Amino acid sequence: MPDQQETGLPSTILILDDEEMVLTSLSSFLELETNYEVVTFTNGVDALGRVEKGGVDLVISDYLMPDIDGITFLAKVKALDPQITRIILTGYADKENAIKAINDVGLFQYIEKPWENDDIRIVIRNGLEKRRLMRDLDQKVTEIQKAYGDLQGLHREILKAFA
Amino acid sequence: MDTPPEITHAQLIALYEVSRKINSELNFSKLLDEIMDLAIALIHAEKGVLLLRQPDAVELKVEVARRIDKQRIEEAVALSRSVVGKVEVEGKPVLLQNVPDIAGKSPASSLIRQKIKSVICVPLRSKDHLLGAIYLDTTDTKHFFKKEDLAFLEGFANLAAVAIENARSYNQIQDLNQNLETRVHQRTEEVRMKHEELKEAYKQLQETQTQLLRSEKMASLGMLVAGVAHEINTPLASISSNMNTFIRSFGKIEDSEGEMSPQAANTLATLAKLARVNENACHRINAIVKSLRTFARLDEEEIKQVDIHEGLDNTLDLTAHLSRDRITVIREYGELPKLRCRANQLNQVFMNILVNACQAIEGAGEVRIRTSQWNGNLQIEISDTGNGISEECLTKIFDPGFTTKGVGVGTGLGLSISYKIIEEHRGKLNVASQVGKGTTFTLILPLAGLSEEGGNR
Repeated sequence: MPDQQETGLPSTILILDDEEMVLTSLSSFLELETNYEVVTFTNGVDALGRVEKGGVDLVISDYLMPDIDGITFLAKVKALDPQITRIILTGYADKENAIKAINDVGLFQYIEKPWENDDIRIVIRNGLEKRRLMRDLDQKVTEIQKAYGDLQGLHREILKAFA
Repeated sequence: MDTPPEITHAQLIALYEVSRKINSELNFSKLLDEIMDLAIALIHAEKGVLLLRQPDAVELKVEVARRIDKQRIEEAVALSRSVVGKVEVEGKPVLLQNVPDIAGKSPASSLIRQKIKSVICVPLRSKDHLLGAIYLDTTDTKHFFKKEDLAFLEGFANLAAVAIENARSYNQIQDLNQNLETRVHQRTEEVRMKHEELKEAYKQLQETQTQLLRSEKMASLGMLVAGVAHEINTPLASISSNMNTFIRSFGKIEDSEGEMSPQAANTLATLAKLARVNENACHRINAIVKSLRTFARLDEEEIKQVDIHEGLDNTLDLTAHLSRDRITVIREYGELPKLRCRANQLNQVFMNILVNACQAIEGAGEVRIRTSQWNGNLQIEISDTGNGISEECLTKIFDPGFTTKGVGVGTGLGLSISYKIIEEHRGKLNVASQVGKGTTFTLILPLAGLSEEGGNR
């Protein structure tokens, strides 16, 4: 079932990998089976530019790339918008480092190359779900804070009335 | 200077004989004995002593005593000493011809007590220093020493002195020689031991070199494999993902509305089938790459709990190309607990044996792997129905460098390394074979496995 953001628009997935064929495979599959909007980049700088523009819900990045490594890229994404779900794509040999990064940088998940299409779909869905839940939580907290503020104001009024 | 009294012809001959005799005696104490005996005989003395100064001392020590009454020895020696003392001091011989008649002096009481009639004492002189002295006396009243006797004895003493010096020198040389020999012997022994140590050290160095080469090879192989595997992963990921997308897409086309011509439907079905085949092929490639990685892992020395069957299966995957369509692989796996070991190294061993087994089989045959637990040990038997190994080769089979595969095919190190690995796991590697029938390698590994520090490493 395709996910929807608060605004009702489909989620936007950004994928960064220096290999074109990986981008084609992932985007083709996601476009066929999901409603997500997929944007792809082979260049880290351009990818960050797109994140800055806003509206990106989830980012998948390769681990080893010539211009920037995946962990550094995802750390920068976190700095720009900590609520974006971050996923790393790694080869078997890099698995150890990826797991370490999950704790250091704060990644949602890692995906091993080669991947099963079904698995990747589930991971993305869960990632987006988490993001939605976090946003809902933030919203609820804001509402509660506002309500509490109103309550405090009301309390002051009442005291004034009976002073 | 007085003219010396005449020495008789007989005495000269006697002197000559004496000189010959004493110069042929090299045994020091025997020499001294001879000197005394001759001196006494030649002048018909009754008794006497020979004194010598020790090489580094001043005192004269009695070396030989003759016919001195044991009970009176002290007195006699004391007497001779006093006479000798005079000789020493004055440097001249002493002759007391007729004791009771010594003019102007009352003879010493000891002389009287011992009833000594005549005394003679000559120094033993060499070059310019005093070696010692010969003291002789007699109680014979009819015979007392004359001036001729003194002259004779002096001549004799000179000869004796030379002989004594010679003998001493000879002894010294002998000692030095002996000392030298002992030292040479010691040194030779030391050199021999050092040689043994060096031989041992060299042997160890060679072994270390072999091990280093092996681990270098493994390291570069490992890096090669890791690099290749990494490179393969990306295109493999694309292909396998795409195949899956194909299958889904074909499904979508089939589900879409509208009739399809039978031709189109068939084509689609074929495409879908092929896509599924491709997908499986990709899974297989992935498995092989993973096996390769596991096999040449860079963390070679790591000790961990492993399932031996997993290692065997992994290795069989990698040798599948040698056995496909030709050799039947039969697995008879028993119930085995995990083994604490260097998994990567054991895989190497399996690889070596399995490759040999497949290569030993010409044409069709069978490779059987049987695992079991027995007596606290893990037992793995790998048998083949190959050509077998001759008795002669069996004894050399674990020797490093021994190979029957011909130059350039193998390094001949495979089995020797395998042997070493099993040894390091405190196990045993045995082989049994019959020419024309086949070969069985048996690995026995203690279930206790390797400790944290790596067993006997």
